[in-house]
Amino acid sequence: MEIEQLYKEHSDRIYSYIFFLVRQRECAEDLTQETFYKAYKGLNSFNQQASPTTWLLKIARNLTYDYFRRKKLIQFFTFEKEHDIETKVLSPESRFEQKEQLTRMYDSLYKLKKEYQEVLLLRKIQECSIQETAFILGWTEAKVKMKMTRALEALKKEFHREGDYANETIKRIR
Amino acid sequence: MKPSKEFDELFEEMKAVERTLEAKKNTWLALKDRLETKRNRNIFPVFISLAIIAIASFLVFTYINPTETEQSAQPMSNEQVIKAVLEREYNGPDMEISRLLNEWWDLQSSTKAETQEEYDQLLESNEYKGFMNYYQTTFGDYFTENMLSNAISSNLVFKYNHYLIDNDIKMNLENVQINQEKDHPNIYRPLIEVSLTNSQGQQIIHKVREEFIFSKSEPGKIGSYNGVKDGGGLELQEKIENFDAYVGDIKTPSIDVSFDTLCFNGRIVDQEEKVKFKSGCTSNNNKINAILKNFEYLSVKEATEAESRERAEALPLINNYQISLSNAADKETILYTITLFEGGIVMFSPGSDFGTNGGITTEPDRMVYEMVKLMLDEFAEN
Repeated sequence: MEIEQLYKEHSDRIYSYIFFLVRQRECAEDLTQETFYKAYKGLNSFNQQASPTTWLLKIARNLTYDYFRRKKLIQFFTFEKEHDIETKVLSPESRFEQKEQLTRMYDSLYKLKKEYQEVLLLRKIQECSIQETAFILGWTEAKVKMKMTRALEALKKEFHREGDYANETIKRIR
Repeated sequence: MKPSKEFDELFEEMKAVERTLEAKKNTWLALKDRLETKRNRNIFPVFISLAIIAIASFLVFTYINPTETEQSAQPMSNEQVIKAVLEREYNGPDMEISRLLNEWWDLQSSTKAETQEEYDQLLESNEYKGFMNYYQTTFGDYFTENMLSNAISSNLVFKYNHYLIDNDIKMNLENVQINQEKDHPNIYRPLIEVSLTNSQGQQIIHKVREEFIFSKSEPGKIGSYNGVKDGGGLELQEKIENFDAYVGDIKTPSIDVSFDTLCFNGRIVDQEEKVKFKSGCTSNNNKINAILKNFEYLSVKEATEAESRERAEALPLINNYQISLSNAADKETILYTITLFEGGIVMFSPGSDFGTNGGITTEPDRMVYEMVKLMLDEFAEN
């Protein structure tokens, strides 16, 4: 498959995935470019075991983690902190323009454990199948299912947590 | 309401990420520019190719004599076959396979092949045949036909080559220890030690485990070639790609204290998100050895003071297991401490001082944490 075609068909999705992780447009564009550059170099090793999208998402994920590592972020406890910072970049101007529920959703998601964030991002936002998610994360399908259930429960708990939102009106989605 | 349904609407909204056409186009133009630069760089001047062929021919005619031909006609032992494969795989980069791949790739890029017939014609080209023949001449003597075909399609051979070239790293096979399975003599699991060297001469040593299963129908040929799960292959790739991050005082942890008891304290978050603490001790030699074996092949580098401090601060907040080695008669005196973090970071420290002399590894070693955790849980007292 030609790299140009690959880029045209998949770059928006890869970009949105990376953007969700890094929350900076310029950085997301750079990492998107890097993803397709790596894909080009590794086209010969792409053995069709996964779809091109899944394969590209896996490359994008690895590159984004490398990016965090290069920034000397110690992943297991500053990864989330980094997201907090980036989320705050959105506020206060744009945060108030966003829907309250959506803001809360973002905040809740970023407070979850990294693996919960990852599985929710891939399954619910990127619409990857269980099999594809397992491939990207290097997990078993059973682990994806288990983590997905727990992630949703944790999200629900975080989303409806009182305290941080004590002064806000809680709207439930029906 | 089920959480999965409750958030569907919001997840749907989150899918919409704005990206301007201009940004998309600019990224493509930058990417295209890089790809073109790479292609140009990879074009070998014809005279260099001719020189390589001439030198190769000279070497072949000079060094092959009848005595050696007779010697090579002797069947190789399984161990020799494994060694021969590993020498090709772990001494690199192999510029010839890279050149052949580029030629084949360039032909595909410059030739239209929209139908199966047109593509079949491409497969008849000298470029494709030259590329495939190189695999055959390099590995054909060692693998069954089926295995070689699988190895090519799944990129099992020359698997580190383009990483080495792209990162300007040389890899050398330093040592191989070939272990044969007692109960299944056709299975061999070699422990491979390789060195990675960059252009400044800095070096990293890494160990990898692989698995070779010899064919029963074609004795002397490899019928199955596998990377061993958690055998270190991914870590090797990671080290090639991020060499600078690993270079330094890289060493394999050596625990040179005499002890007979292993105790641990673990902090974990359970399914209900509650923090739990576990602890236990064992003086069973088999259990202790099995646990410590997990650390045997790790490469660690000394943590900076800042890194040690950050991790010491994080310790009470994250999942971790701390192992202490002592003597049964004096459990209070800790001779050595090993701390494992959930994120795959392991720290080794003489005495009970946490961290200051520790080493670090990165995420690929996360499995070590999971594995050791299971083994420790077996004798947890709570």
